[in-house]
Amino acid sequence: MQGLTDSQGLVPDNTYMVVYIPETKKALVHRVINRVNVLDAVLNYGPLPLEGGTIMPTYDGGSVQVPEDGVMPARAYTRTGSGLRFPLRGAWDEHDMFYTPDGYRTRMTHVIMDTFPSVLRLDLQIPTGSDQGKFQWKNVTTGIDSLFGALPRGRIETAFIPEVVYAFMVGNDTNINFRTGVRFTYGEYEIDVPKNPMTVLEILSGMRPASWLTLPITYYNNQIQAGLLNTYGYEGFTVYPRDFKDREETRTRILAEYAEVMRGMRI
Amino acid sequence: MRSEQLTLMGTTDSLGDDNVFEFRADAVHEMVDEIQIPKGLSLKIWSKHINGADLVLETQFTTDITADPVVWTTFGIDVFDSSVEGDRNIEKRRPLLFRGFTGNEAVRFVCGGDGPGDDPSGVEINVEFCEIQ
Repeated sequence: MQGLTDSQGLVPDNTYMVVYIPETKKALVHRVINRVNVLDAVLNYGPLPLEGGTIMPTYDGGSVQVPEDGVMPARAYTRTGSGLRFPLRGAWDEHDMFYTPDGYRTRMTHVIMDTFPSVLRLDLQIPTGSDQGKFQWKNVTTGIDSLFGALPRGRIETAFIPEVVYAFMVGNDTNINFRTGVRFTYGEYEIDVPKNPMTVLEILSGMRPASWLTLPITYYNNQIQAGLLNTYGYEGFTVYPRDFKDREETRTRILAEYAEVMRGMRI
Repeated sequence: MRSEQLTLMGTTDSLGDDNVFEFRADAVHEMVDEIQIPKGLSLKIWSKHINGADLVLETQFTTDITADPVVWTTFGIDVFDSSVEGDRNIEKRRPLLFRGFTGNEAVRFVCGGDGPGDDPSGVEINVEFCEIQ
């Protein structure tokens, strides 16, 4: 997260939050009215949801069994399609505490996940099964199964789009079977959207302060599109070069485009 | 990356082949006898605490844990003489530093000298994973 954040890395009340999607060059622009979970921003979840006996592939080419619940085996990584989701009894989807349906359109969940130990490699698949890491355009796909590249270790941050199933990918490139732990720092924000196209243009041009979060989406598929359209009614505002706002003809065109986008919004 | 510290605890009662220490740690499931350093990370050895019977503790490093045979190089020797001191604390203001350039580097600790005596010795070693700087 860049820009305005509080001491925990969350978005302060009554500020703007931009969620940028690189593949479409579009950004969701929301105003965070307030954070619903005011006092309990930290959730010590417990071990990673790794089930003892699960077979995982390894960086050395073989496979290994998870020796015990919550233990990340040495040299192992989560298999594509079997990324981790975090169960929680009572959640809308008890298999995935961060999944929400489109009815949650006035809420946005922003999560910073810290894993222990912090040497674990982390990646996100949005949606599950979709490797989003790319090198040199799309010549090389990176991901948790590849030791090429430098995936984040110990911390990963995201915002959840309703109706989209996210998968957390974890890799352990040491030779140690680690007992694991997870801590979430999260904000469940009550949101609305700016109703004035000029406000959106000023935010996306950097004239108005905002929190910026870039989702690791380099492959934009139907599930993401449907999640955005069903939930918010738009896929985001196109982000233009900052100097476009300074020229009358481009500014007018952009404002008209943003106004058209706003007509379809469902928030 | 946040750095990650581990306190490794081992005794001469549980030495593996070649008198290599096998360690426990709170975050480690089962014993570990060598620590592979992931690519892009460093392993810092901050302190050692030795007590019990006399012990020669060697810190060994290899650049390729996948080689057959693995070639280990001794980087540090700590000699504990229980007749001179009750225990030995070795604090490193400048830690022993090992870097993972390939991801195949590893560190291990060996009971050197004449090997373990009749009475056990215990060691606690504080190590830290952090980004290569």
